[in-house]
Amino acid sequence: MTETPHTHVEPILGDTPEQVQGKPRSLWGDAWEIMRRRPLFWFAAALLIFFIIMAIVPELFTTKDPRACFLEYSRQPPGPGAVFGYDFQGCDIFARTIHGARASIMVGIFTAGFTAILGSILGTIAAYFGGWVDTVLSRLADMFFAIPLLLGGIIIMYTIPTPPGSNYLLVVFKVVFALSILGWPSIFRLMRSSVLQTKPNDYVQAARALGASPMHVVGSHIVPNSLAPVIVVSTIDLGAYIATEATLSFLGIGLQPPTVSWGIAISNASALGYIRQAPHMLMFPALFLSLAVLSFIMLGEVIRDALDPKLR
Amino acid sequence: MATNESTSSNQWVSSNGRLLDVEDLHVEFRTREGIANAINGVSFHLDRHETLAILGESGSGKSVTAQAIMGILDTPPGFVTGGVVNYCGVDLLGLKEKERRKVRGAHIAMIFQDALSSLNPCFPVGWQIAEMFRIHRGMTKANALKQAIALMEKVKIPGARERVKAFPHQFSGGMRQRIMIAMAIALDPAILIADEPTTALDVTVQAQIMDLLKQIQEESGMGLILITHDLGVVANVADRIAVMYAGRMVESAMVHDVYANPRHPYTIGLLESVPRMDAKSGGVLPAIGGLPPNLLAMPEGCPFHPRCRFAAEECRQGSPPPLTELDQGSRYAACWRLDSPEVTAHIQGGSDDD
Repeated sequence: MTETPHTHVEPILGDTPEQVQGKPRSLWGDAWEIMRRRPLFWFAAALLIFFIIMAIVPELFTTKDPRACFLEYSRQPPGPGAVFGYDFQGCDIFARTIHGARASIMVGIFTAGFTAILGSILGTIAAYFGGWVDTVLSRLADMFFAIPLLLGGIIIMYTIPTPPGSNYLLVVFKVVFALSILGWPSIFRLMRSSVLQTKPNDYVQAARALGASPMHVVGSHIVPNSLAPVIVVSTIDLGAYIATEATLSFLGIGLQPPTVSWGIAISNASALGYIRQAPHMLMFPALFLSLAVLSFIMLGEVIRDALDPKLR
Repeated sequence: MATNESTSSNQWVSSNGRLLDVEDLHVEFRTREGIANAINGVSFHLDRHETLAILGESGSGKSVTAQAIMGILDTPPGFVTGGVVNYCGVDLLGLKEKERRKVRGAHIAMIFQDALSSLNPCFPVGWQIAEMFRIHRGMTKANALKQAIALMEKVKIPGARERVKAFPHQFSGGMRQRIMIAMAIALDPAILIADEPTTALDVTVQAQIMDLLKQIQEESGMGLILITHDLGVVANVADRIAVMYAGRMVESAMVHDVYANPRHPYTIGLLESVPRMDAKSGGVLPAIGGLPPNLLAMPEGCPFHPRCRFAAEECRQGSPPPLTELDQGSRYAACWRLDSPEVTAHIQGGSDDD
């Protein structure tokens, strides 16, 4: 790439083409180069892909029906035929754990997605327009931020009743809605500060000086340069939302049976006496939950390290 | 957009070759501490093929003037409070924002001091140049990219075809400034405002960039406004010089007149502070003492009087001196003491006597 036969190039002092070597690389290209050399990234990615496949096609891992339960097997420990044992209803824990991934991961991904979208849009509007728009949105975010995630979740879940026999997706989205309503202010604050940092940059002014419209300035120049921290925090938060969903389900107000989820399984397993008598009921769903949360948090950390030039 | 704005500056041609006429421009910044009068009645004009250098130290209002002409002042805190910016017979200050946006880039373009921070780090340079064609002319992506490569070749970026996909951080300072220039001249503007285009570059690259600007100007006949504090850059390139101080124009003349016969004490001081080949060795380089005035608390009288060694009683009170016509209208200066013997002693290049 140093020689171009078709262009007449004068030798220019201090500006030799050798200064550019290798392929063009963007911020994300650079981040990818750093990430792919880290074993932690591959570990987290492999775990994630494992869980996501589990959520999409649980039938790949188990042929058993998670709702086919036989009371005579109640609380039997792991053994041949049921590698994770049976729960107190006599359902196969392995099948229930595999099928439980879908609800948990859906809650995590959709909540993280909605908070990221809502928080980013409102954060960009607040920071770009400033003035009273910023004040109103910021105070609104403060109000929601003041409500503890779990407590607020309990109140919202409790006040919107779920009639028995509700659609599976409806129940999942109720949880997503509750967590998103309470989770967006953190992304809002992050995006707002990020846009405030990007806005005074020369390239934003240069774009204006060359005739770009405000929409174009925001869409092409401000948002792409402000989004990195939001992506990092959303990935880390995704794990936290899965854990929160499990907590809500554990408290009996999140997802409801017959939905199969890790939180419900943990809730059932933690009834008085079961932990000592049948620890396998608690152990396996809890292990999967921890691994899923861990993998999202690890991925978020790896992305953050790769995007932060100070850590290179 | 493609239909009514497809041709570039050609449709806005003035009859007498006059491109820009700025009259009595006033800009103020409304801050918490009070109102800062950044520009207090600046007037100048620019013709086709002409290079006007606006000279002055930091805070003299050079960049604010450019931003006011472009209409990219941050409002608030900056407000244009008076004056006329007449571009080919149209007062830009009276246009709606939407119409002004069509002028920016297509008719009047601007390049900035720090080319690295003036390029978006998220996108390849070719994309950013192509953006100009897509915004203003609604070109397709492929066509715009082709044009971008042609422009990169025009500003002499080696290996343009390969480097069109490279990102700003992969270029050296000089190359980045070339890309900025390519973006600015993409739509063949009638006026290019260069805000300290070479300040962030080293000396050898400075000369190349100035040569490039000059060459582009010769080809297209555009008017060039060069904002700088570097007297060395100005001497070779500019046709006319306008010297600014504290938001006012203090001297305006053809370039050789300014260098040979500076009339305003501030210009005299500026020229003295440039190292000279013929100066006695071992001497101390003169400097203008003091600092530019605080715009929030402008001194009474001539704003330059606290730093002026020729200041007399008349300079310390009343209103600032107006820009006066000298030498049958070929030049202007704003000083009460233009005809006093101490000041006129500097005419005929007699600036190396102390």
